[in-house]
Amino acid sequence: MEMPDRRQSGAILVLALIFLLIGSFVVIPLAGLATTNLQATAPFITERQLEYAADGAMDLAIETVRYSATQGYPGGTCGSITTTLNGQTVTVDCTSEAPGTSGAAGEDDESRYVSFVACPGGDTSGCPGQSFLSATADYADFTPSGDVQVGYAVRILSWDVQSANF
Amino acid sequence: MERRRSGSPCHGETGTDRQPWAGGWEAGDTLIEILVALVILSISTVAILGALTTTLSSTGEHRSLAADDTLLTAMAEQVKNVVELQPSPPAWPTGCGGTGGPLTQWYEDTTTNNTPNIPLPAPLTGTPLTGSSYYPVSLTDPPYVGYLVNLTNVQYPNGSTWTSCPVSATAAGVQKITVDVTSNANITDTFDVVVRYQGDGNA
Repeated sequence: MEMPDRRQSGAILVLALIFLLIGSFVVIPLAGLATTNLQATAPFITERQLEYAADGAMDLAIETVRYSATQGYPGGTCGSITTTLNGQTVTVDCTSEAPGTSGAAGEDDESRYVSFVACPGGDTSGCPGQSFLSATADYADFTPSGDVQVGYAVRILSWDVQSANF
Repeated sequence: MERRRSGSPCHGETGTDRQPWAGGWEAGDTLIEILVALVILSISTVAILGALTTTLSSTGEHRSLAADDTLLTAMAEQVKNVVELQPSPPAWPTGCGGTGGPLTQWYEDTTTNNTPNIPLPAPLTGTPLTGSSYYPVSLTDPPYVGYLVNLTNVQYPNGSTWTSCPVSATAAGVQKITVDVTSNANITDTFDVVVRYQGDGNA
């Protein structure tokens, strides 16, 4: 009985080419997966760094204004502070508000009332529209016995985090 | 006279150097074809293995980074929690920071009264490295076994920069603590967290 009429010449070459094709389908997605993972890591780390840098810069600004005899008083200047944390430069602007007029819960009529906004970068001219953290603080410049002491107490009235996706 | 069943002889073949099998012909491959196929297979195999290896190593590195990130964030929040947010926080730590300064040692201390000033965040547990009175602490909980957590530096603000010792009495109310985490793959990540004095009066 005769075998079917077929030749096997070049079969290995064809199989190798098919294997190469299948391999390409495997390698390309694998490389893409690895690249995506690595690319995704950087923004996560940067966002965490930004959030903590803003948090730290905000704490620094609140504490700086606390003991200042010139910043944060109604009608006066408040200024801004720029610092670098975790490789991220953050500027915090502060604005003096008139005590007792904001209507914020817990606001003390006899204290300085100051609002802060934090934004990325070192632009001291301000950060309209780019702030990713804002806070308000109420300062009491007197002791319970009524003696004047600048920055005796501070209360954080609000602490609002916006997106840090830039 | 022999004859092929169909087609012409392969390269280098004659009609007489192939043996019939069960009535057919095993028209095989030439050496050059096999070598070319072998080269192609080798290249593609090496490429696939290389891609797999790269993926595995990058996945491991990514995992270490993710674990580092988790531990750094957890430890940073623990520092803030202990120093700032407790109803009865410890006395505000003072002294010069820097590397090895008393303030840094206060944060690093794991042995005072058998209670570390900054314990690991629950439910993590760890042990100080042998012979060390301070951090680093080697974690003992999966999946962080062997990871090292260390509070390495404390600084005070000086305007927009940071310095080891407070430049004024009121400057002591803000401290920047540096947290280090080293994975068991020897990947170290560093992170700064700021704490602020929340009490009344001066820090």
